[in-house]
Amino acid sequence: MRTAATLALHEPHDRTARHSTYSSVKEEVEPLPKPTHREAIGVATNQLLAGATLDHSIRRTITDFDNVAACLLAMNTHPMHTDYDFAVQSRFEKPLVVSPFLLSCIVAAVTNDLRQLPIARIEIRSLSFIKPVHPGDTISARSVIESAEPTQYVFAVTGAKTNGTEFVRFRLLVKVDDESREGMSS
Amino acid sequence: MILPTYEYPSRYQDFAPGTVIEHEQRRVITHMDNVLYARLSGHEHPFFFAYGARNEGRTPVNPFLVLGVVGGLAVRATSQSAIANLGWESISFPECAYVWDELRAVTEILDKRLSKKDASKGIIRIRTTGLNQDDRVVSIAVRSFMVNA
Repeated sequence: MRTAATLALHEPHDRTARHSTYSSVKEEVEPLPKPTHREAIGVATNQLLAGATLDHSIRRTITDFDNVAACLLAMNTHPMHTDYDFAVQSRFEKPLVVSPFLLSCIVAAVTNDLRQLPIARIEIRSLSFIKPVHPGDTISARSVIESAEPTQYVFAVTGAKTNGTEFVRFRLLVKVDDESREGMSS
Repeated sequence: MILPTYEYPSRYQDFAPGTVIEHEQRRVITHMDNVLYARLSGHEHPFFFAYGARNEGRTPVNPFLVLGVVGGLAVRATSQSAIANLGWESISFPECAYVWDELRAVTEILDKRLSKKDASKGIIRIRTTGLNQDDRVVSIAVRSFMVNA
């Protein structure tokens, strides 16, 4: 609701001001100072060594919106994700998060920390779901580097809820694009 | 050639190993699909947004959208009556899919067995392959799910 106070903040309507654009504004701008730091997101490539454990920084809550949107985008017809009455009567008693999306979120948590690594291809091996994940659950990921070769990294990834329940375990194979490796780190 | 209609399996007994199903639904991937799925998942790595000259101006589709869509197209004729998704043995993306590709799915029922813990449940193992309009393989996923026997 508009109050008298907020109305008073508005300038009187000016037709000419409406037509001014950024390109027509000529203002003196101070020269940009020389950068002293460069933001580098994720783990440095030289720290990605076999045996290292990465506790991925991204945690997130999977919402009903995420779940239904991802399910409909993928044209998944299983009622467990979009028919909540059906889900309540199932043995899980609550809707489940559609699994390709859940996997996508976990891989996002891992790869976002591999920002320095020029990924060329991704593969998943021996993935098993241990516990169900419902909309409203907050998930996090942890990975252990099983092998780190110049062209391929293997991560043993675990997805867990914030209460500590592990719900998924898999092996993520990351093939590195050697050609663009230098371009990315510069 | 007229192929017989595939009856959707709903119980363990209905799944016949060796069956190869060509799924009816196809799907053209748009930029909206691609960006929305990547943002919903929280992808930030440039691998998932590799626009530009190296791809001749074409935009690669997020591999997990490919997995989701190809899996989604296959659900009705395979895991529609599944009571639990157990996992994937392997997922690979042999060739890149690009925006405006029309994806389709083919599923092979590999094998089935009764659950060791509970004989009233069965485990079905399937391989779903995603293909684009030029019949190039864009995804191969081997998964197993549980159904009532």
